[in-house]
Amino acid sequence: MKTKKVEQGTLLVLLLMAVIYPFLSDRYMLSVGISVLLMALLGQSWNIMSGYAGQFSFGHAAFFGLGAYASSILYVDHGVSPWIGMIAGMAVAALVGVLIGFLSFRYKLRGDFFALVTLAFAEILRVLFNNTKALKAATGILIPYKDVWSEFQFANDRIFYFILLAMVIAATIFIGLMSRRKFGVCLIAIKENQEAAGSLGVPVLKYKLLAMAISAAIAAMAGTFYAQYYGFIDPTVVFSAAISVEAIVPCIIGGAGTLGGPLLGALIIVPLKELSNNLFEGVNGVNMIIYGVLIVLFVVFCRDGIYGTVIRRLKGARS
Amino acid sequence: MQYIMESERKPMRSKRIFLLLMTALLALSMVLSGCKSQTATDTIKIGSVHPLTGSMAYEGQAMVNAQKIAIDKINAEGGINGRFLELVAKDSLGTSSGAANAALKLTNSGVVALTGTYTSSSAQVVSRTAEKTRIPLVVTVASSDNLLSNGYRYTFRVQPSVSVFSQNFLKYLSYFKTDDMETVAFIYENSNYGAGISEYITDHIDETGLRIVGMLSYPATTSTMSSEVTKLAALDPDLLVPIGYYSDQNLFMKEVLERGIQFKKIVGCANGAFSDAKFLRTYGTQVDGIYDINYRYNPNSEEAQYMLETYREVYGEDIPVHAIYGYESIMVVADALKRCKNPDDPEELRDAIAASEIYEHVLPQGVIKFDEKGENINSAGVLVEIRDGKHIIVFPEEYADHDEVQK
Amino acid sequence: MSLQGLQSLLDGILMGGVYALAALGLSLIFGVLKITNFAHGAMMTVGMYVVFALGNDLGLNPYLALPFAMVLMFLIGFLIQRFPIHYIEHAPTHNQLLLTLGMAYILENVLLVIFTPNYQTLTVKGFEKAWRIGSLTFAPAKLIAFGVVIIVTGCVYYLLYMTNTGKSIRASAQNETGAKLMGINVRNIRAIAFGIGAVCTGIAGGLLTPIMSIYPTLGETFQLKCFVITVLGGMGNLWGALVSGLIIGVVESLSGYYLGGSWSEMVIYGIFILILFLRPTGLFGRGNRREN
Repeated sequence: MKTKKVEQGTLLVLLLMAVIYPFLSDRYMLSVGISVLLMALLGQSWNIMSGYAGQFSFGHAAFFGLGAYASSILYVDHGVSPWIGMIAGMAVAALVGVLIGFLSFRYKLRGDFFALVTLAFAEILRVLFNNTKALKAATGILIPYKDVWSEFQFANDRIFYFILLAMVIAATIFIGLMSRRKFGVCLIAIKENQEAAGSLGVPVLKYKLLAMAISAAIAAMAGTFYAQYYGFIDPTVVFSAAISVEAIVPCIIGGAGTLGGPLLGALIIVPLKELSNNLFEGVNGVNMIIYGVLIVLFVVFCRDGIYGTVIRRLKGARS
Repeated sequence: MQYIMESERKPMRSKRIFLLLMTALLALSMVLSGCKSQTATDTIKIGSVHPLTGSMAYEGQAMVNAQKIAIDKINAEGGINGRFLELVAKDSLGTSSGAANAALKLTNSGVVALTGTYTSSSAQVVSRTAEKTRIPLVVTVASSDNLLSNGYRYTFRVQPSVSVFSQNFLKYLSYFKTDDMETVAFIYENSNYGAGISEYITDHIDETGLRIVGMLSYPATTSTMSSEVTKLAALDPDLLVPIGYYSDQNLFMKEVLERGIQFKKIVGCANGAFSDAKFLRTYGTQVDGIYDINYRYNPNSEEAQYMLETYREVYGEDIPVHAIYGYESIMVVADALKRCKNPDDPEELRDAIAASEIYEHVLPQGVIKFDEKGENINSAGVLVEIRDGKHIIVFPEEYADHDEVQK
Repeated sequence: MSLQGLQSLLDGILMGGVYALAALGLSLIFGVLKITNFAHGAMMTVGMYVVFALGNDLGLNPYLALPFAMVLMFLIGFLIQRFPIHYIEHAPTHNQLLLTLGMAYILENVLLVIFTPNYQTLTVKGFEKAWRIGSLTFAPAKLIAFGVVIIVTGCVYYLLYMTNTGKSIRASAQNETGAKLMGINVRNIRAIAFGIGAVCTGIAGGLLTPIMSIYPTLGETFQLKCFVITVLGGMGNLWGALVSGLIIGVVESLSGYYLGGSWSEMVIYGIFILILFLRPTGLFGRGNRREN
């Protein structure tokens, strides 16, 4: 019970901080806040598939990019509101996720082989989008600059912030609810021992695919937000391995397979990265060295992530 | 077994220290990023957002270097009405979010104008940021055609865009086209810039009377160009047009020279390698006879001579041609600042930049003047020939290195 | 096949040799030590810069500079394994991936600080012109790389299968506890193995220096290709890695010739996915499939 209280307490404090934050911050701080939330959302998306279900993805850029492209093409070429485009993008990404998942699980891929397949799919999508004229090829898509609610465009970044926050909260609540139900228990069973779970009657494939679909849909949602907020996408930006990495980093730092992990991870690593970028202005490269060192230290000394370590401590204290 | 125990215990102890350290760092980061840096009001700050790490770091750094020379020159001449300029350069990390954060950090610390960003995707993000914060942005290098198509009021671009380069190519063709020239082949990197230029030219190829025999695209990160070279050697076009960045085009020419293939005529368009001084240092006179339509300084401008010499003196190498636009971007901002009653007012500065009419500059073009979209109306590249292992401007006439051409 | 097709095939084989060498180190580290190493590309770049620095600043022939690079790379590899990789050997793949990615950031940016991000080109005297047989041409630097890869693969094979150190490496990879009980200092053995992997990676980098102009993040472009080759050849199968390196080189070159360079990446990733689905033990079936 204690861990549950800690979990709820942490989430509540985070929520409170997140709501107050934009009123205390200037534009720059707000922009950093959006970076934090975007990473948290991507992390949460990665978390359900890889943290809970244990299917390690290194290609979340594929889903992110599909989401960004689906809504942007519908919006720019067909005048469809990005709000609807976002739903379409989520559906497309979920479908592709299920397809990748089905093929991979059908051929029994696990561990880093599965990770490499997801990476290869993301790369294939990048090459495909980059060379297909109907998808605007390398030119990319410029989103019109407006201030219209119905078109997911706001002159005020605070509104963007709160929309993204709502997305993160929705994703977190959704994953939280799912993980308490049979679905979550089964995912953890699959992660721990797939064969045993299967022999106990857990529909392994169905649950794994469901986890992938949810995960892909959330990543696609983040993709649409990215396109609308930053206002420009091209294949090398949205399908890049850097996006896939952004999905993993907060989970590992915060704690994979925990509800608050990705949130905490993003909250810690983004400001640290900004800080090293600001402190070492003028000596190029040092900022990234510091970032690299931080990642190495976190992974070595905080193997279960900050959140995971705290929870384990509490559990340890109880037993 | 004792050994195993040891190795497992050790990290536990340091883990506590590490957690403590992290918490302290985090607290520090909150405090530091929270407090606004107090701006000294006696200098006028100009922000610069470029990739300073990652795969575009060289280009970004060169841009900042050139900007510093411009800043020093203005300060040496007494600054802006007695106030000195200060360049604040930030790393865009080569990503959209990195560029947005960097630009906002700069606007926060009181810059009156932004400059940047080398890649088009970052430029798109920063121009949106400029629009939201109402701080003018002078684009150093970003060639994408649609950069200004959103009607942003605060974004200005000095450099020639993809379509300007392409039009230059079509225009300068008369200089190097011979009567027996019938076929043309393109080899271009497949991002927005390489593909953009080659597509624009091929759309207008009918005007030239040339026939396209090959369109070869490749990713800029390629590690070999052998199959492209083989294919082009077999096609043997009358005119070969390579478009790409430094490392890939360097690789291409290396393989061409290695095999001793003689193409009839090579004319690059905004080629990252052909106009670079390193390229000549590596190949010397072997690459004589290659043309390139690219950025360049005006050889008749004294200021350009000053820029070249100072850059060489300070950084120990010739100024990369794209960085010239870094230099000029600062000059554009400075020129506008001089015309402002209150240089700290970005709105007035924006209007001043929009009203720019700069006759004395380092670029091979007429007066620098912006249209209502923010595009430099006279922006242009020039046709450069490599002769005796040197870069010589041969066209248009008014910017040609006359002494050299007559030799 | 036309003459051009033949030339492309030849270029593919030569470039494939370079790829094979680049993948050899990964085959050891990923295939034998089971470390998902995303610092592989960055380690390669370190090799390039060591050779470049010795060649450019001391005027050493790049091939004579290789031994120095090898020693340095061994030390770097040994140290990277002792700290920090030692601590995450049994951690989930994603922890390994993130840690090695962090290492890659560090290595790349240390190079950026030391050597500046400028593109560096090293030319070798006598290698300016390709060698020819009939109308076919061979790039000398690639030909030498091709020879070296066969020698290096042979040496590593000998080391791994014929020496006690090699036996200890394989034993501790297969059964760590068992190896410990047999009195093998697993920590050192694994560090040595990582060091050997780093040496191969460094040689590959060094041999690329005369071929390409180098910059600090160049290695990244080889990263995924090396994973493809390692998996294609079968995890830890050295000769498999050699052959699949050649295959990838040829596929890249021929698809570049017939389909265009933009699509050749896609062909390679497509083959990769097919192999993972259909023959996850690699083309030659000797590699051991990794379970999570």
